[in-house]
Amino acid sequence: MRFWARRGTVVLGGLTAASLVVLVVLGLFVSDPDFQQGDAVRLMYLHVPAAWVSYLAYGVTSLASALYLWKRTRAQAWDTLAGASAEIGVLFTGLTLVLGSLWGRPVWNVWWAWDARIVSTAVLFFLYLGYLALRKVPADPAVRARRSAIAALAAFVDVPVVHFSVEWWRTLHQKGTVFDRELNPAIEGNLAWALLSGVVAFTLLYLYLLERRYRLAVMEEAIEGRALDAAIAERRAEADVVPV
Amino acid sequence: MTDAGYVIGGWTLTGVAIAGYVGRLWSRSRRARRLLPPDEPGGGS
Repeated sequence: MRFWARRGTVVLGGLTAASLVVLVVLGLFVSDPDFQQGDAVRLMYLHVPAAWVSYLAYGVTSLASALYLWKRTRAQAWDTLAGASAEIGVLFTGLTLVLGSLWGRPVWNVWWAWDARIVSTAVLFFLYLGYLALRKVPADPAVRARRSAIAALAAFVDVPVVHFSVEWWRTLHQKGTVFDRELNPAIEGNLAWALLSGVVAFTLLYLYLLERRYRLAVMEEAIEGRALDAAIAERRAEADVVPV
Repeated sequence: MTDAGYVIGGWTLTGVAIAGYVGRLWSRSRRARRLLPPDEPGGGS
């Protein structure tokens, strides 16, 4: 079983590396410059997939948190998975913000704008950073898991706000364009392929990182448990030798 | 700065962030494996 798990990780790692190479080739060398944005469009191939992975990661965190809170499915593994996915989500939300800023400077002429999409994304970043901090607060594992699950579900409320912010408010950030039927955007050819390769590569990368992070968390929980057992045994041994 | 500068900066930063995170996961996993006996999941290898 362990052999197949390792083999699966190696295959996933290989696929991820190959897809990232394809993304670099398509995004930096094959894709044509945009007729309006020029080469700055190449930042879209990272910014959009990073935002997608943020949604995916927080979706997994919320689902795992809900499964932990539901008594029928309650298991430590769901809490571990929620924490692992949130950490990756924070990494990709941070990248989304920084890449958006780097893209905004040449295209909008600003690094930052008090825009609904940008601000709600920054709020999302800090909400899940707070969630990760909450997970570090020492407590009984069951208490910590329960309050973390509640916090994760509360933080997830911001995800639809981020997504629909461009519809609900007038924003500098453009609306969703690729799947907009009314707009019928003319993204096609090698630009569309580069964007698609970015989404595929980042999704595979997310799955690979999640598997690695989850496995690390399981090992660290086991170490923590053994350290606790050793400390208790030591205390008991001390109590036994103390004359009454 | 030219468009190319922003593009190179963004791609480099992304690469460094991802590589840094992967490296951190690998080093922490290696340390955890050393601390665990072989009978624990992932331990002793």
